[in-house]
Amino acid sequence: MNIEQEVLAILDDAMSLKGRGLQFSRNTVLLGALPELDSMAVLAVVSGLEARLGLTIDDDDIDGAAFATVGTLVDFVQGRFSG
Amino acid sequence: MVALQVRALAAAGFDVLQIDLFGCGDSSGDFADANWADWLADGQLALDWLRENSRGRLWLWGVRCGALLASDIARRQGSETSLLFWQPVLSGANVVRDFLRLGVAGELMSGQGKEKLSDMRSRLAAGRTIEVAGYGLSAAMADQLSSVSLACGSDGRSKSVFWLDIGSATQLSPPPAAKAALEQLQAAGTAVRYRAMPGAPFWQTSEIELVPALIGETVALMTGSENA
Repeated sequence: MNIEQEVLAILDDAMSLKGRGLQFSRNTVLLGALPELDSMAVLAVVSGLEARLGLTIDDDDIDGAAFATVGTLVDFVQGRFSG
Repeated sequence: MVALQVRALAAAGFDVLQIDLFGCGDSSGDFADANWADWLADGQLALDWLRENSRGRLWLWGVRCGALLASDIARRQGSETSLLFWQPVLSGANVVRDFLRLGVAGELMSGQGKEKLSDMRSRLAAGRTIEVAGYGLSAAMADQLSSVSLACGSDGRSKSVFWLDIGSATQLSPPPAAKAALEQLQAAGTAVRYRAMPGAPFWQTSEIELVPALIGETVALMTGSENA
């Protein structure tokens, strides 16, 4: 499984970007840069990671650092898989 | 979407009663004062009204947390009721968790990020109400929700469940947790029909999104089962 592609697909769905999210790179800034990323979308991303990747995200795992860029979010997911 | 579905079902010959629960929509009360027991009573009231005013087979239809409520109401009936779920949440604990997650996400947006989710849980445990996006979740509601799950309706009281999900175009099979709940319902002797279709998650979008396929599929399933 390519985690980066999965994360992009989840971001794209969560923000209803209709494919635009699939073109994001690791450097794409998320929080504060994308108007579509409101709090409902953050919740949709977290739910998407759990439902589609089978991750368990603990109560206090959701923080701003993970949602800074596509890269930090991918690293966050990778960390959950290896941890 | 719900109003459109109501009209589509009515046009297909069903009597439909759509209610606003206490503290929701046009109903009286404040959301923060609502609790699960009141919502169960609201649902029961609607069911009793339908029993008096319609002779059709009884269906309880719920979207997201409403599906949870519908299954809890069905479980309490002396007679069989059928259930229609749209994107059901699997447990009340998930509802509470998602509500708090939304609060944490809101904190991230505002750049504060001061209160952690576990802090919010502590406040609930201390009997306080947590406010997120203008909605207050009372400690009582959180407590009652935490003991409800979709599978606890699986005592054979509901003979048929139609479960419709919105997925992405690449993911139309039930996610693992939903699959487990489906299997639990089936093991209890419930005939479950699952359908997933691509579409926008209309219950959480800020713009109004429509999924006409969901409305069509719902009418087709319901009409098919009435004629069977």
